[in-house]
Amino acid sequence: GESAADAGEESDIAEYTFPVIEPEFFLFGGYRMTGLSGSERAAEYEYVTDSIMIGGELRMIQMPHRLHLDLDIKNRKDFFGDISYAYKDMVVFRAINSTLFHNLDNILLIDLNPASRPLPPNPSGPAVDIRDSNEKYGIKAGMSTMFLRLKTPDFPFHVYVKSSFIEKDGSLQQRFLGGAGYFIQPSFRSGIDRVSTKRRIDWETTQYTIGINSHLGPIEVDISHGEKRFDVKGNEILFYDYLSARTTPVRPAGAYPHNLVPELKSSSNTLRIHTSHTGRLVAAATFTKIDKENRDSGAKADYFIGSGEITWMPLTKLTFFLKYRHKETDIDNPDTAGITNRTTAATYTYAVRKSVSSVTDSVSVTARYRPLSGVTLRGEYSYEHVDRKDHEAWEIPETTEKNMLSLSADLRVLKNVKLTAKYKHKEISNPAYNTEPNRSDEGILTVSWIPVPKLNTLVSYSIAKEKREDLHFLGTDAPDKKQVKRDRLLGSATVMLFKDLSATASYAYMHNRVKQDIVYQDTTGAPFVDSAIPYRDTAHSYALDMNYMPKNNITLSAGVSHTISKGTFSPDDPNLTQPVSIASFSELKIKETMYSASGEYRFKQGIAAGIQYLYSRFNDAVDYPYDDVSDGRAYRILLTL
Amino acid sequence: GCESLKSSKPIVPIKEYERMLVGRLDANYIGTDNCLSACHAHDKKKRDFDASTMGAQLSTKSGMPLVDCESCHGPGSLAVEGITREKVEADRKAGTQTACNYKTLIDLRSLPAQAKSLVCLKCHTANASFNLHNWNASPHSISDVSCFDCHNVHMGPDLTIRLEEMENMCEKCHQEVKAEFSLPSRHPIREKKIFCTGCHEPHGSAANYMLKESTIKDTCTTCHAEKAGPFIYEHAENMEDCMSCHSPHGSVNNNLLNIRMPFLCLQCHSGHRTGSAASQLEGKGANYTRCTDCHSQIHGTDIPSASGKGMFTH
Repeated sequence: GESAADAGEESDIAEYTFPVIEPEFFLFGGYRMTGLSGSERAAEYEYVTDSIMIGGELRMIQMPHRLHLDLDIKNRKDFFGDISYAYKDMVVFRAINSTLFHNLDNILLIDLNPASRPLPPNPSGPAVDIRDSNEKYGIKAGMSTMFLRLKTPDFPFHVYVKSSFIEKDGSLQQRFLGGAGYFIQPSFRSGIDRVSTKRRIDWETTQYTIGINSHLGPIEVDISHGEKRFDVKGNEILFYDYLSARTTPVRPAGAYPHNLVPELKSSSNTLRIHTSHTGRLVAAATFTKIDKENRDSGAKADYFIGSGEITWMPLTKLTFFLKYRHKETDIDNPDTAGITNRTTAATYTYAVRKSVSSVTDSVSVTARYRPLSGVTLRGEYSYEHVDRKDHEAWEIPETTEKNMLSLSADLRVLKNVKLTAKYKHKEISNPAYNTEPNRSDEGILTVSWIPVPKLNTLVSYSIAKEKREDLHFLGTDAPDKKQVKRDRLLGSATVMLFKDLSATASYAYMHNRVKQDIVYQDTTGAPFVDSAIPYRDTAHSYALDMNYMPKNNITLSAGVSHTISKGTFSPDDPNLTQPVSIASFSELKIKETMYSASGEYRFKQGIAAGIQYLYSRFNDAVDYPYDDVSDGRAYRILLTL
Repeated sequence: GCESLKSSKPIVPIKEYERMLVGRLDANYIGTDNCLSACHAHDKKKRDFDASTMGAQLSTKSGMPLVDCESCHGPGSLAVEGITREKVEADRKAGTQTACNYKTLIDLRSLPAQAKSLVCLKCHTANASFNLHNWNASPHSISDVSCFDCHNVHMGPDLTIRLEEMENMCEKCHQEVKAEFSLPSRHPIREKKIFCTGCHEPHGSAANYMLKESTIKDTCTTCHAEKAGPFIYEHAENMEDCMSCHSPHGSVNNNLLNIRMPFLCLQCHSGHRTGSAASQLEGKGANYTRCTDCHSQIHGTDIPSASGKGMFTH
């Protein structure tokens, strides 16, 4: 017989004809039933209301046009859309909208002594003014992105526009400091009253980038300009009737502004250059200049970021990666700031501490070596230098240096066993903040094992330790040590129980522990140190998911997840533990459980019916009335056709 | 055939990897017709591929740069050697698909990650793909992740990842991140309201953590713009690194805080006045619960506090 290859050469086989691809679409409609009791945290990111749902997908390939649409509308505050269109290689367009509703907390301000009321001017202690009892808070957040690229025919020159538009509309709890807004000695009474109230918000963030790019021989160049605006549509600032504050100049009692949400703008110019990605030596560089401005106060911040990277592959088995990054941060805040009494129109002006500006240079070298098949070794060294300006007033060092070394190995120990190990050591000279260590060590070991073809397992353990030996607080260097330890244990197994039934079980353990000297002021204002105070938080997370396809037209799935989170903070000094320990204010124990089940049956006529059930339970196991979590339960049932 | 051309000096210096992509030197190119109109005429893989962007590039009507099967799989003459039209037709009538000698094609699955990616990059090295600027030295590339690990070339309608499927895809490797998204305070990735690529550029970027924007702060304030500043009173340099206080994937603490208040703040700041007397009880409740109940503009403010300083209370 004649081979196909020969046939091809002699053209006696039917010429391949690209098929006509008929438009494909599906539509679904349905109804969503919901229920909620207690805290909305049980359905934090959902608008809990019964509603009709619609959605679908359209795929249309009518050469040279290509169109794809994906739509899912749960309700007016919860929907998703994704549309893409292309014409030849000359037009590429994609727009995505994801709109969600974020339920927010109404937190009850702690009031250990309700007898401290009435409110100023004559309270018997720090007062609490709760103006939003039983208010429900939430924000509708609409996030849209768009990308349009135009290309010249038969030449790689592109013009593109990227944009994003984020709209947040709703209400949130505004907690703030009332009274005098300042400690009034000697009793401190009426100085630190706390207030909670409702605040309406309507914020818009608009961002546009326009750019061009093309080839210049072996180099490609991309130039773009971006503009960003943050607009506050009303309720930009709040006012409160403060008591007199003993500042210089003295600020008499009156209505003053607080919690201003300023309007902001920024511009950026970016130049990106890169070589071909396919050579032995590949290079890329990016230069960005960003100018930011606060349109209310006039504060400005300018950034210049230059970065470059080189990939060099001297041997197939050996590759080096060199990265360099230079960042200049120049903060220009006004020397003074004023606050105006709304009643008298008198303005009181105060000196402002200069913000910290800095220059950061960092360089890293990574080597990757494959000595044998199934063995990959990597080593990385990085160095970072931070040089600060206007740092003295903040009591932070002028320079900080960081050195980091990491080593890792990927080993295929057996055909069905893969092991990954990584170790990282970091040292920091003159850390600027107490959250940074002098040195840290981190290790991670991951083993994936497929003992039989239908069972896939993974276990991973990581541990990180940090040490700090020169803590610094304003006014005292007496505190000294800090230790941090982080543990993570992960395990998962996926098994094909039968041909059409699979199950995945997973467990995660996450533990953070900090032990450090902390500082308080006694009643005279003098600092005293509470040594080696431990803080811990721990989470255990369990999950089981199952999928079953008893027939080609039936899909069933079910899952359950349960996460227990807890945390404690244990001060030691009697000043903190008597007559009640401040640790009790922040004790945490939360149990969150989610059950899900869904099924779909596909009829022969291209019609499918589906049901989804989701039940979530959020349990505040400590049940302290003033903490920021409380019990809640929610269910959602979705019926679709 | 093209033996002399294929064995000649490679056009770029990664010789070994390039040779892996050339295929058998003794094979010849036979064209799409002989792959698709014969063996792969009716299988589902072919139908999905036709509906994909790359599949459309088989058609001159697409108006896009043309590719064919052998662009990636290498020359196919040895794969179809001995296969006749009669055999293909007979197999088709018998309900079976004619098996070609696929071992003579490039064994794409067994290639090293860099060679796999090179299959794609030999075309996509240009700005046709806007997000590959930093690919070569990206953490994914260094960690031997290839294009194939995320993109299924034969799947329609697009080669990009469907957003609702992205979480599962990323979490196959990043299981520690999956665990963090199960914590009580989290960004709504698990709920499929936002997506990994909202913050990260998986093809690499000029920023750390493969962030889409130039800095951590610029990435976070894409959505949380009200906290972007600049402000007259800045929180030292901490505002430049949101991760000083927040765990962006998830936390046991409200508002994605690394550590619960007041300990979070007490790491750096002296606590307010306190004593063991019962009269101090109310002060303890005020000063040692959530620091941000009073310091409500902790990300920065333009209004001097009642002390005349920038204490973030106004």
